Amino acid sequence: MIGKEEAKRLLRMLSRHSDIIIDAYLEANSEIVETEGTSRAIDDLVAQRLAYRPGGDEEARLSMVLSRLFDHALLSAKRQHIDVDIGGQIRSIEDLVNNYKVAKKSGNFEDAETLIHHIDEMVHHLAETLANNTRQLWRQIDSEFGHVSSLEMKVLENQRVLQQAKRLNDGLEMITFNELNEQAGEDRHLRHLLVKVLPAAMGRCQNELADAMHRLRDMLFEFRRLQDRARLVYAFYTRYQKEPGYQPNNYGESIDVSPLINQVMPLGLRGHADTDNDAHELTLMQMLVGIRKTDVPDETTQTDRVELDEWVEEEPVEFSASAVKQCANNFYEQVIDAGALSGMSRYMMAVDHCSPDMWLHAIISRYLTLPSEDKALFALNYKGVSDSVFDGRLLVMMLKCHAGFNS
Amino acid sequence: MSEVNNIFASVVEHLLQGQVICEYAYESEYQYLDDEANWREVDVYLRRVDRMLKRTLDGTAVFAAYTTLEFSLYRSDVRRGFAETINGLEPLVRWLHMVSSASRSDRPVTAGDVVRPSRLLESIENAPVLCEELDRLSKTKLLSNNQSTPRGQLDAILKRLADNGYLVAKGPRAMQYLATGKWSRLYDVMDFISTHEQLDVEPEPEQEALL
Repeated sequence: MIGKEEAKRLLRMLSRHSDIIIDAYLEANSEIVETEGTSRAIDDLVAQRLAYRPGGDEEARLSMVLSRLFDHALLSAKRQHIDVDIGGQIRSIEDLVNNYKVAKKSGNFEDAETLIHHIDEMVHHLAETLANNTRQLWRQIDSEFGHVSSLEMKVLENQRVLQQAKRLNDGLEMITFNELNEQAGEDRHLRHLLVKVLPAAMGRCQNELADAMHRLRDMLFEFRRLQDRARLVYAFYTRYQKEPGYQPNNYGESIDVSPLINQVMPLGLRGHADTDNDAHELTLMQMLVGIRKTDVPDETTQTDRVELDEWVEEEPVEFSASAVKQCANNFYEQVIDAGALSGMSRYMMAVDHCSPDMWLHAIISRYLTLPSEDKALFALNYKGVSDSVFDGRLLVMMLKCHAGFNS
Repeated sequence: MSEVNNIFASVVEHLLQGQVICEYAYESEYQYLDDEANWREVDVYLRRVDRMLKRTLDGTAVFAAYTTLEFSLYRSDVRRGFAETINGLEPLVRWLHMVSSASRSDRPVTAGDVVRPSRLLESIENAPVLCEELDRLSKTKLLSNNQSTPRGQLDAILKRLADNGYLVAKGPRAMQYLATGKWSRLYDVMDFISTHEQLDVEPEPEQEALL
């Protein structure tokens, strides 16, 4: 078991120089600075072709095999390489399949066994390569090419990856199921590998590729849009810098206004309070309370003149206070008989020349001056509207008196 | 969140008030319009009052436009709206350029971008050119403020941009802002102007050279 011992020696050597190797991979871009402490490690690695000395003044470097091993193990962002050349792997598989068939036909079953083992390994390796490729593609897409910062580089990287995805897709399209089926013939092992495992891996990869290419095109479009916008901002900025006070023409003034600048101006949207709606009463009352809390305007400051309707001086009308009181008393007596009455339904009971407003006012005033035990017999309900000019003043529009309370 | 329970009313009200609805500024209203049936319903409603729904060219924001410009009233509105845009354009362009320079990125502010005042301030304070620009912005009508320190000026400017619908504050004490779809609308208008004014739209030189 010479191979086994060699492999163990290799792993021990890697373990012995692990710090140097890891430092080179993580911090020195795969370079190993040659010092007394590192020269032994470099010699050992070079002997195994895991590092090389480029010559001249250049430092020793880890070989790609070793870097790739770390990239793979650490899912490194450096792993951006997509192996698009699957044609070579397919050709190798085809060659092995042909040799396998020859060995089997000639009755050399031991060689056939070895070859089918190799074919198995290569098919699974190809399936893994395809899966890795799509993973790698999505990693770059998801990071939005985070390994580069400028939009220009993102566009270039996006184009490069899109090109790779296309090539990979083209490569997959070259391999048809019929060909694989023909290659496999009736051999059970080959059929498993070439008609089942490989087409399944290829199908998955093709589906992922289609999605990835769609997304890459969208991203490319978006990056270019951002580039255009950046250029736009810069173009305006330089114009403002070079030409202070620059102002574009108002293209809204042209006869044929472009739909591109068509946008509405704000409409002042307001609704009026629905004071006849009982459901709003509480809310409106709360709002009125709020209004009272506002500061009283400073009398020394001049406010806008309130426009009032033209006031026509009316002849003063005089009433006898006792007559008015008597009419109101009569009203309340009738309320007791009727159970409930609206104020205006007994307007005819008012003294002569009394306006409806005054009549309602007389009823309310009388109610307020009733002894408390009498007052408890009645309930006054009225609806009204807030005065549009003088806050806090309620204009009563309808009044109704109910009797029978507390009786 | 909108205070109006009726989402349809809220959408229509915002649109008629000239606001730009996007995922970041009026999320519920935007999601409502994302449904094709709702979109149609709002559009039909608006068309009865000579308005219609429109998307920005990048599709990230929605606003209302007139269905007809035959009436002088609507033409006059468009003229006034455009005049407002061009009057406020210089400070907005200077702000966009300042943010790009401060963040050393050639990526212009776009709907959904996060603007972190603290990080922005740090970059501005380290570059006298940007401090001067901040001072200049503070003297413009759109972003005017009486602050004397870069921090005060930046906070005031961000607040003014939020008041004008370009940013929305997020987190306690406006720790960060989100750029809204109103920038998309601005870029569309800038694109229109640059074509008509034949502005020289060339790739921007490296940011480092400007600082």
